[in-house]
Amino acid sequence: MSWIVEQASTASPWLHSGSDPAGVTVCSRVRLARAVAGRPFQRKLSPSRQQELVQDVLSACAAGISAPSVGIDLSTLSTVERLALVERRLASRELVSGKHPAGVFVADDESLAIMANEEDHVRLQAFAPGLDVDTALAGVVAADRSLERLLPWVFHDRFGYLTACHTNAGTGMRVSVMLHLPALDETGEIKPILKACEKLHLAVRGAHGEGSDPGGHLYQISNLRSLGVDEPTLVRQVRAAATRIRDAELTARESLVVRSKGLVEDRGWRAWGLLAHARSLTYDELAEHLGWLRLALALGVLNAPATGSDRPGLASLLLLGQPGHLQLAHTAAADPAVRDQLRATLVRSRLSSDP
Amino acid sequence: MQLAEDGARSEAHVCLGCQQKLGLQPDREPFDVAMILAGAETKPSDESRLVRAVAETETGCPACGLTPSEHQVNHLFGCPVDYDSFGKHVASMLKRYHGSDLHLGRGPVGKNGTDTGDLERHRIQLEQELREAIAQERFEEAARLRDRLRGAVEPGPAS
Repeated sequence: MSWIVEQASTASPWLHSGSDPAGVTVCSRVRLARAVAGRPFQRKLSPSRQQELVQDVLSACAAGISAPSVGIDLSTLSTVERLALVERRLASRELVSGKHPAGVFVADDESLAIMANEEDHVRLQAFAPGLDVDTALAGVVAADRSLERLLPWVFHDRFGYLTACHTNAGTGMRVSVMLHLPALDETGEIKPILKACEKLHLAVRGAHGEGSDPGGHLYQISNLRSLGVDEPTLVRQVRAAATRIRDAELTARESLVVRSKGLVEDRGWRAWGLLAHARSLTYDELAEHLGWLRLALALGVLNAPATGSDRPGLASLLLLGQPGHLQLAHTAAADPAVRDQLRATLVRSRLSSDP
Repeated sequence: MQLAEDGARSEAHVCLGCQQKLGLQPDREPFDVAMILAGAETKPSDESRLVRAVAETETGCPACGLTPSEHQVNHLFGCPVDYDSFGKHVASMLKRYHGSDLHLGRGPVGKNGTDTGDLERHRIQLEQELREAIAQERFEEAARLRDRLRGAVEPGPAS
C-alpha cells in the first residue's frame, strides 16, 4: 500500500489542532521557491535533466531532513493518488499534471512538503494549524537551511533568490492563511475586504490557491509581493490582515445572530438535516452545507453532541469527501454518480441522524 | 519642401492642405505639436512600442537563448542568467510588480554562518534612500544618510 493511500484514510494533522475556538482561521502555510545552481529553469531543461533534478532533490531531502518522511517520484503514482496529494495540499495541480517528471517529499505528519520540478526547481512548504504563520515559517526555513548545504540555491546580490517567474523573486516566499468566512459571505461584507486586500498587495483566493473557488466559504489570503520586504515583515503583514479579517468575521457573526438568528438557525438545521439524511451529495453541496453547519455550531445555535458533529470532524469530512480521497477508499467511486452516493454514506456515518 | 523638375531644383513653402491637394509627398513626417507640448515622447503607447522595438532588437540570453519576445509570452525566465541578460528591463519589471528591485530578506548561509550579501544590500538601500532624500530636498536626512553610508562602506578602526 502506497504512503498516500495510507494517509488518505485520515485527515491532515494540521486540520485537527487549530487553536481558534471559532474555527475562522483553519491553517497557515509558508512556501519558498528556490532554483538549484548550475541548471536552467524548468522550461529550458530537457526531460532527462528534469528527471535528474527530481532525483537530486529527493536524494538531498532524504539526506538533509531527519524527520520521518517519504520521497515520492510521481511517475510511480496513479492519477487518483496524485489527485489526493493535491487535495491534501501537499502538491500543486501543475506538479501532478503529468506533463513533466516530478517528485514530492513529505514529512509523515504532513507539516512539510517539498515539491521537485514545479515551475521552480524546488518549492518548500510548511503547514501549521490555525493562525500560526510563525511555526510554518520556522519549519520551512529549517528545511531550506538543511537543503542549501546539499543543493546550492541561485542567489543574486540585488534581486535575492531567483525564480522562473519574476513575481516570486527576492524572498521566494508566499505566506498564506486559510479562513472560513461564511458570515462575511452572507452579509456581503466580504467584497470591500477583498478590495482592501488588493490595495495592501494581498491576494485572496479559494482554498486551493490560484484559480480555485472559495467553496464552503473557505478563502486563502496571501502576500503578492516577495521582493523588497524581508521574511518577518511579510509574515507580520499577512498575520495582521488575517487577524483583521477574522475579527471582521466574528463581528459579522455576532450581528448575524442579533439581526437574523432565525436565519442562522434555519440554515444550520437545514444543513444538518441534509447532510445527515441525503443519499447522494456532490462535493459542492457538501462544502456549502458543512460551512453553515460549522457556523451554526460555532455560534452555539446548534448543539454539537446532538448533531454528532464537532469542528475537527466536520473539517475532516471536507477533506475525506473530496473526489480523490473517495476514489482511494472505494474503487467504485470512479463513477461520479456512485461517488456522490459514497460521499453521502460517509457523511451520514459521521453525523447523528436523530438530534 | 524641395521640388525637382526637369533637372532644376526649387523650394516652396506649402501648407498641409495644399500639399495633400497637389499630391506632394512631405520631406519628412510632420511634427505633432500636441505631442511636443505634452512632452509626449513618453506617452504610454509609444513607450510600450519603444520597449518592444528595443526588446526585439536585443539578442537572446547567452546562456539559455531566451529572447525578450519569448519571455513576453508567459513571463517565465529560461535561466537565472536572464535576470542580468535583460538588464534594466528586469529591474523595471520587478519594481513595477514588487514596488522594489532590492532584496531585503535572508541570503544563503556563508562560511562564517551568517547571511551573505547583507552588507551589500544595506549599502544599496542606503544609497537609494540618499538619492530620494536629495531629490526631495530633505538635506538634514541626506547628511545623516551620507554619514551612515560612509560607515557602511569604509571599514571601522581595528580594535
